[in-house]
Amino acid sequence: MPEQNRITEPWGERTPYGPGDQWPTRVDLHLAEGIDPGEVERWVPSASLLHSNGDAMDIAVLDGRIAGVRGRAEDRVNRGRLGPKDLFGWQANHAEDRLRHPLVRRGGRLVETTWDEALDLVAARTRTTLDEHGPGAIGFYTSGQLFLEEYYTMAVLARGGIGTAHLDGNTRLCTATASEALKETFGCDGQPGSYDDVDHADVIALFGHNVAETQDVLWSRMLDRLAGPRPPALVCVDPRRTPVAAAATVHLAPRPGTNLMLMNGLLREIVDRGWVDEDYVARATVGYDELTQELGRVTVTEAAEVCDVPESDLREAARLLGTADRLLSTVLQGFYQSHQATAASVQVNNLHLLRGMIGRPGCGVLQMNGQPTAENTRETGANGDLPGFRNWANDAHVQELAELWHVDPSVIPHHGPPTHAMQILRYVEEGSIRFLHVSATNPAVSLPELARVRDVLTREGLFLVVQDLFLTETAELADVVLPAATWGEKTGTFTNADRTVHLSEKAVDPPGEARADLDILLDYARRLDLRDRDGGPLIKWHDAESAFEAWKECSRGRLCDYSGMTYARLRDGGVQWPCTSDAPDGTDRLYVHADFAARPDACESYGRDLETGAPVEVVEYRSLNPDGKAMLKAARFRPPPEQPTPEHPFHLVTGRTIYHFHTRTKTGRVPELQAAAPEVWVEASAEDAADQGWREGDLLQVSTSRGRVQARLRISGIRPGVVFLPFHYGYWDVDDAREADRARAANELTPTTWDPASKQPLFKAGAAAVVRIEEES
Amino acid sequence: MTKLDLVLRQVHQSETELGRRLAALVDRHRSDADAVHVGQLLGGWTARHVRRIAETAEGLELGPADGLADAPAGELARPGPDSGTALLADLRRVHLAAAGASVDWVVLGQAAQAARDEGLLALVQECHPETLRTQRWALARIKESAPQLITVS
Repeated sequence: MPEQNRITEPWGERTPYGPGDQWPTRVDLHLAEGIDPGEVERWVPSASLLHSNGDAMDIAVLDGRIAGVRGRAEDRVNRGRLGPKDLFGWQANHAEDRLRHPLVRRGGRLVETTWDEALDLVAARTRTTLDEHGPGAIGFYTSGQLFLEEYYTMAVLARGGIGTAHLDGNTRLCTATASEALKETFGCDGQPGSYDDVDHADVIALFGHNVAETQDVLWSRMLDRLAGPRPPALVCVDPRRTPVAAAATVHLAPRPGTNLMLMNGLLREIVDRGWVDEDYVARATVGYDELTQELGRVTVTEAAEVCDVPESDLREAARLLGTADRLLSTVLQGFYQSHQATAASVQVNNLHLLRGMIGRPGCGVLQMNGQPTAENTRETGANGDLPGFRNWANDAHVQELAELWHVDPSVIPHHGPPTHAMQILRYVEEGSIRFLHVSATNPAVSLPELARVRDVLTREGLFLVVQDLFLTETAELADVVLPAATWGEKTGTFTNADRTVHLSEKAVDPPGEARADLDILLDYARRLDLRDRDGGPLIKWHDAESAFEAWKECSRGRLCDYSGMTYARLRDGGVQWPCTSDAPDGTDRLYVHADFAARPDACESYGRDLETGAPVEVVEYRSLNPDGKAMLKAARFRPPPEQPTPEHPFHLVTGRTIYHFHTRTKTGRVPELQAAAPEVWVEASAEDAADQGWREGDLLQVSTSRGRVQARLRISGIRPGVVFLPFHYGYWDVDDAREADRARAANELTPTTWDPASKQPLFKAGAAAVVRIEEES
Repeated sequence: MTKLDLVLRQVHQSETELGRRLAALVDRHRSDADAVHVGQLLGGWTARHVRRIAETAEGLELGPADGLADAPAGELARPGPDSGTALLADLRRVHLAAAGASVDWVVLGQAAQAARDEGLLALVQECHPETLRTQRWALARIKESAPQLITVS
């Protein structure tokens, strides 16, 4: 059989199946040209590190090099399938320009040095900063692409050793609202649903979630249901006509910034029509009266007007959601990166509580992640929370950590919420953070308002350490660059968006002197000589497996309980937490008996004011939710602050393509993926193109009050009045691109603003001007 | 003028004061995205309160507050030196102004109940929770910001 072109056919061949059946197996394989599967020396278990789906695979090894990948047929997540990024992405490991030696800045230039010199310098600078300015002068900005063991080590190092509150991940950009929305409703982070719910659902609703490009194997699963007997109905909320929208039974394309109004309209109709499971609501929730009171303020007709969607479509979507027998909902960046992000995402949780659709096959909420290991930053406390979903405002939780780490509780900063990434950047900007460690992320391209970010990262007096695979746009600004190993070159675990934990083992050696992030962090901690209360080393583990064992103890008894897992067990395939001696094979769905982790003494968070972000105090939480039920939280729509004006008449939204990840650090170095999407483009509707006289391929300039970007036009099914830019493109592979007239990073344009509750930056909240500067030739 | 009118006048004045404090916060801390964006949101709430009080107490001719926009406008800017301690001072002013307004709402609410004035009671129920939320936000920002601003030299 000829090999299918998986660039042009990213979702592969259909394997149709019906409701309640097991998803059929389809094993995808891609090996380097000329290599036959029989020649492969070893197959090493791993999973995808290029999106959040956690597709399990084996890495093919030949002559000490990675020679390809094959999907794992038996794994619950993908049953053998792999998407284009995974089939081809491994080639990035072999890129010629991988960092092979540590670099230090001398006389303004980065030059090669030894590990000893580089790490001694980093440790000495940490120590003097600590001595002169205190722990609050030190910050860590990490990733959604390291492994669990690395995040946990970093969390202990930063929160229990150095004693700084300033540790967050770039997961702030992708998954902070998922976490916050779950905490607001269920008192604790933790994905209620399971990917298996796709097999059972009769209605699947995707809220701002272009799953076809963000998690293409999960979309294959949905396509296989759609191609099989008794397919589910699809409800899609997205301003773009995505592949999901094209397949949807009802597609709602609301005006940007109106998601909360849309959700309130849908819930209003569901309440009015009597589609509420009153028994479940009475038994399992608090807040119903407050929610219905708020919903009473707006009619479905008004909601349809504000969102500018047909009222009949809105009612039809509500009917599908309101009468489904098994409803699965997913939520992603269309909600998380938009105005009133947490408030809107919480309404999806409310939908499921109102309908009593939690914890049964086909009845699930999936508040999604963007990045492959985002879930682990959340669990381990590398994301602006305390490890093990512990509550910073609960002294007993802090005491547990102090006992686990053998430190005084006062060492662990808990006088306020751990600092979020945008505030860390702010402290650098103000000059109070003087030492910043950045690992496996590229803020010089991925954060909003890049002109400001570049100023902040090059600020006089800041010592910047960057730990990465390549000399990224951020690494170029660093004082010390530490070359890291990556997927396939180091061992560790990570967890996907439905709580499935995979072990990814070392298959080959990293290039040059590059080292595993875990080894770099352990060495750094040793050189800092971090000690516990008894004078022993603070960090008592020495490799990935011993770090995993330490994490298991930290997670024991919490919702994200790993205590029943071992590396040996994970070698057989993915396991969903909680996994304990009582549930040794893991747990497919949370809250089966409405048994939420929301009791005041157990919950991860007392919640926040959804509009101002102010933390709710414990006394208020105890009176609102003494029995630890799920919380129905109402929120009022407010118009977004940055509205289109005559000078900036378009809504600007940014997003991703299936062929790239993050800032293309890896995928831009993979020939097939790079060729599939070689340069930035801008999408506009056919209506707007006709109005403006633009044609496909014209060079347009998109500008906001913050900057401008040039990109070629693709006419697409996007909502009129909205333009779209992919956020992947930076400057490492172009010359002199910082010249303003050649800027291509979407974040030159995006605003410094975030959701007050989740602190997630709002990449879909800008107003832009668009003009043609060159016709297509 | 009745005593109830005096209370209405008082709450009109204290909400106007709160609006001015919020506008000052936004204006003086243009590099602090949270202060600007939440400050604008809360300023919008306060402006609406002032308007609603004036509508409710038509006979008193309270009118709109001088120079109080619906939402204080303005773009973000880069920080100046030592903006931190000034931020704490301005948040403190917002918190105290909100506390004062909150007390006035309590007085008005109690009086409205005793007088069985349902229109006034509805006004209190609409506005007072938002004033309390403003107060909580200011205190929360103070709690979050103080350690960094004061202990990191």
